[in-house]
Amino acid sequence: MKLPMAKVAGVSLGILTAIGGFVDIGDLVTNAVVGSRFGLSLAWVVAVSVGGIAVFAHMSGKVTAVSGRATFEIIRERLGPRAALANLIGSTAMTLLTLMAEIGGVALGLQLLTGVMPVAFILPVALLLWLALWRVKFTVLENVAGLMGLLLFAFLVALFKLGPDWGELGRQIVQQTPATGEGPLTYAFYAVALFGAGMTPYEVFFFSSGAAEEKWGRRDLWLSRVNVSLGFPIGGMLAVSIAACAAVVMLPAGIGVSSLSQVVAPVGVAFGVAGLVVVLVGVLAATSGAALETALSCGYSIAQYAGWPWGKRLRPAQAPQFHAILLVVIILGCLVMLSGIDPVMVTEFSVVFSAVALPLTYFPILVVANDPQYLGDQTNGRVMNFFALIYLVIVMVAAVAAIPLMILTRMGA
Amino acid sequence: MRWRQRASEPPARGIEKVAASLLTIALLVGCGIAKDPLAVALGDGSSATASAAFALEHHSSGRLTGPTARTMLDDARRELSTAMEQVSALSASGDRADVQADALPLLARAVHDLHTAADRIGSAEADAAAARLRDDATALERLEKQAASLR
Repeated sequence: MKLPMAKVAGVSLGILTAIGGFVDIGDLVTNAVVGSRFGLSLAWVVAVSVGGIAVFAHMSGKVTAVSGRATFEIIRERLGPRAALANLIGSTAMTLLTLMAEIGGVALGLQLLTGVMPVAFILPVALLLWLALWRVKFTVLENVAGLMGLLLFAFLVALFKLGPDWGELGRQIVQQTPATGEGPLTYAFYAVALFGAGMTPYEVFFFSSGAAEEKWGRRDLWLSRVNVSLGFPIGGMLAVSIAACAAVVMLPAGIGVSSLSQVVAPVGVAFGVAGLVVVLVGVLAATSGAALETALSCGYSIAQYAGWPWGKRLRPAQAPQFHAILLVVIILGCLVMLSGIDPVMVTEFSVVFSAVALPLTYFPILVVANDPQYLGDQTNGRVMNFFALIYLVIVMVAAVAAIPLMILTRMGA
Repeated sequence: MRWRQRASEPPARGIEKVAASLLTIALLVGCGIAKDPLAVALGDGSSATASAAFALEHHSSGRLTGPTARTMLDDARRELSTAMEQVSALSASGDRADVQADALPLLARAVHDLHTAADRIGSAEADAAAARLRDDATALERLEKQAASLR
């Protein structure tokens, strides 16, 4: 099959944005924390979460592409308003918490570049986010943030430059047990947190609503498969390289990562100030891109549930409620972060509570993807359902374990 | 496989009870193997002090920008102060009280050294300040291990 150049470019762009879009503040912080305390012994969790997000993002994209309707609209119709409302409340609350963490992440990134206190950046960042959502086209937002997020590959390059003992890193990957001085509960807590960071609910709803924004149809299903099967795994590799950098630099120095400054420091050790600036620009792109995605996800979910017109492709006058939601969630995120709350703490809570909300997000998608009334001949097959059910069990276990582990380990202390 | 979930299906109350019982057992078992708070606080203190030394050393060698190194020092200062508050608030007894008594002056010295180091960043005395912080981190780590072994 010969593909036209424009199509090839579109595919490449989709993959690249999926890579850049996979890593957000939750992945940055959690992977570095885990790397500095457990080495690569939890890398398997990233692999598991990449598989899960790929399976459910594709399913969600497929629902929109085949039925031509929004995921939440169908969930409400299929499961009834009450069950859909529980799904909406759970996933929107988590997405809002993630939005707050992303706004805080942008402010922390700017602090590391300028030395100015992060609270000073919250208002300008919120204003810029709202302006971008108001004025800039969806594809431009997605492509700019995704492509600039690729600067985070500095972590992968830095890992090679640091010249680690590859045999030792390999041993950590297969070891899969708590490192010396770390208890099994802390190990389990971080396994759940890492899983929550990799499978944040907003990514799935953003993926499917983005498919509608880009007017995907049946003919674009292969594009969805390529994006999720290449973009997310490469994004996962990027996440593991963040953990590996922390394992190589911070773990031997006896430093347990607890701030964004410590997350990026290994790149500075490898490449000096120039490398540090590059990775900080990548962090800003990844966090601001994720802030835009989370704000949009809130707007998509609520508007789709309520049956209001939605989408960046519609002007504010055509979709007033949708654009009002975007404004409200950004104001809420901004107000909470202006209170002086620690953005890293918000991030840690957001990844743990994401794990709690996962069943609310993923179960309805699986139900809808099995309904031939909406999917026709694209209804889930046996293989897809086999993997989806395995993931549903993992998601349930993570959701049940998250809060007890959080309490018992005092947030992984 | 095709299946449908009916919204009107009643909840499985038996499963809820089993899940609640398992959760309670897990919590009780978990409480028994949770990490010692004194060891955790000392570990945090050691990590913060080592991080401050790291920031000073790598800023001196031109690998970290001023804003990044200063932010690392500020973060370390906050974390160390929290660790000190936690250690002083603990009501320990026996050998753990001895470790706590040893830890408090050590943490106070680390806080002092960290404040001094923040003033020396970028100066010729930065390396000496970093060395002092390294010593503090090593001493705190030793106490952390001692506290962990007492359980």
